[in-house]
Amino acid sequence: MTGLFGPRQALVLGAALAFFLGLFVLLPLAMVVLSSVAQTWSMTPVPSAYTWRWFDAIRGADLDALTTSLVLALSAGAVATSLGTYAAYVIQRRRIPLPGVFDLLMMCPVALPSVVIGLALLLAFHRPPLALTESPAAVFLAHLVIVLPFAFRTVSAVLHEIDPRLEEAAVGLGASDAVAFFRVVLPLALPGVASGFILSFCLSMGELGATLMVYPPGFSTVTLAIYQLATRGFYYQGAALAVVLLVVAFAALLLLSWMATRTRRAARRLA
Amino acid sequence: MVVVAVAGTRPARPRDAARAWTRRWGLALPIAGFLAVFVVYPIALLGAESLAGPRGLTFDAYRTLATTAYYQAALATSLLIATVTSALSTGFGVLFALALTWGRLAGRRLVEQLLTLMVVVPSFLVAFALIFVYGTSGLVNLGAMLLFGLAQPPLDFLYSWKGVVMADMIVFTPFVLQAVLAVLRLIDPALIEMSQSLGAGTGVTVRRVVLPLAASGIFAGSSVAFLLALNEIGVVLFLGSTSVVTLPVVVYSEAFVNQSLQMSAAAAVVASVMSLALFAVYRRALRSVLS
Repeated sequence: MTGLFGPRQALVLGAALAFFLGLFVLLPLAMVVLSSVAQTWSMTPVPSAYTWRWFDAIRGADLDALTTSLVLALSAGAVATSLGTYAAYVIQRRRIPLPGVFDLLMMCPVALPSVVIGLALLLAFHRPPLALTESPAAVFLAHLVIVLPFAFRTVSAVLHEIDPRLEEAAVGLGASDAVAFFRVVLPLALPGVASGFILSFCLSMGELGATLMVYPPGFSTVTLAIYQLATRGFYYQGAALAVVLLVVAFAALLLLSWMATRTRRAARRLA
Repeated sequence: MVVVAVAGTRPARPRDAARAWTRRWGLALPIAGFLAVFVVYPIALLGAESLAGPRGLTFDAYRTLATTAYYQAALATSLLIATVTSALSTGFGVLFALALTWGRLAGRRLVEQLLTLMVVVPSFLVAFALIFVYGTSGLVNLGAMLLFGLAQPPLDFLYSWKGVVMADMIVFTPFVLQAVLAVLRLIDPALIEMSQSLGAGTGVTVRRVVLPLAASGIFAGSSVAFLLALNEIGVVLFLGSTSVVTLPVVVYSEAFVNQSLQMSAAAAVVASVMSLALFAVYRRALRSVLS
């Protein structure tokens, strides 16, 4: 790009950006990481001694919470991605009735506060035939409803880029609709499906509002555990769990970008 | 369009039409079923619960919401936080989008990757992290007390609506930034060169050429920030839900602290109506940001 800004203006803008990132993002995150390994820390700029004991303390209930979160995020992510992909495909490509209405309803949970979604599910499923609120199924359902729009949107955006004529060609050559979908459309949409899954996974790992509304007694997730530790004033231990949560989310994103690079390379080799 | 070509070669019979209709609805059925049972029905129940009196319909819950100072204040706080957050996020987002596009910054890729990472950081975690830096016994306060021999922590804003705005602003600025970056990429550099060669300075070029061309992205980003800040709960809970009461906090505390599902549902209906109305207006803008 040509210069819109002179060197001085560029410097000021760069400095503003650096300040924002430094003071509001990097410094707070660094403090969480430092706190998670601090033995004692008061009245000194950095901790006076370091320890792993806050991470060692992640066992028992907290470890269960972590496992629960992972299982929940993987399953909610998988179901949301499958359902989202199916919905994106039939709404865009298969001329189902009222595509606009379906698209709107698929997206509308994005606009609602997570506590409202939690409350609505609580009211709907707290008595038979579907008495889910005494079981973790309620939390799964809440996460599914919340992450589904994101999976749906991500896959929709990728489907838009895929030439419909490829699928038509497959059908014209005698493939059934299902074969055309699984052998032509799905492989081409796979990068979008993967990023939909990772996004859903990360959002589910970090979900708090709806979880708080529907979780059954004796059930915990990482976010609930961090919340409870923070409200009881156990900041170091909360920081250790927060670091674990961040590492899981960042690892998932790294995996995604690694896959994206590989796909791009493979595409270049083909071309 | 082979199928259409085949269908066109012979007159369509009513049975074919009926079969096509059944197939189209059949494909829609799984989504329709899911949405009906898990989205539409639960949300409709909110309305039913809020209106259910001991003897038929009652508007008592809404009357209480409208006339009690506590609930009025909650609505006002929600709107205040959403408005200020949206304004700040938009300001920073636009500034940083300009900087990243034309600032010739070193480490620009790194900054962009950092901002992508921020999208998966849960909002409450930002609030939690801010406590370590700007909280009562956080880095800044302790440092200032040590350096200047103060008896009281000098910074005392984090556990108020200002702290919530700070955390929300940090969480939602990347959304605005992405929306604005996307539209800035589409601007033809020749337009900017032309503006400059005609004698316009940087300020005039930004105001008269760049910002009007970026208006759709700025609108999309700021509306998303407003809507999401309006709905946010994690940040508020971490920074002290006792002092900052927003509409989502009312939904939560009426259900679990005051044990009144009816009041909770009524507050949820008010919040939903507001959010869904904004969603209807912002829908196209939202599409471009949330994917």
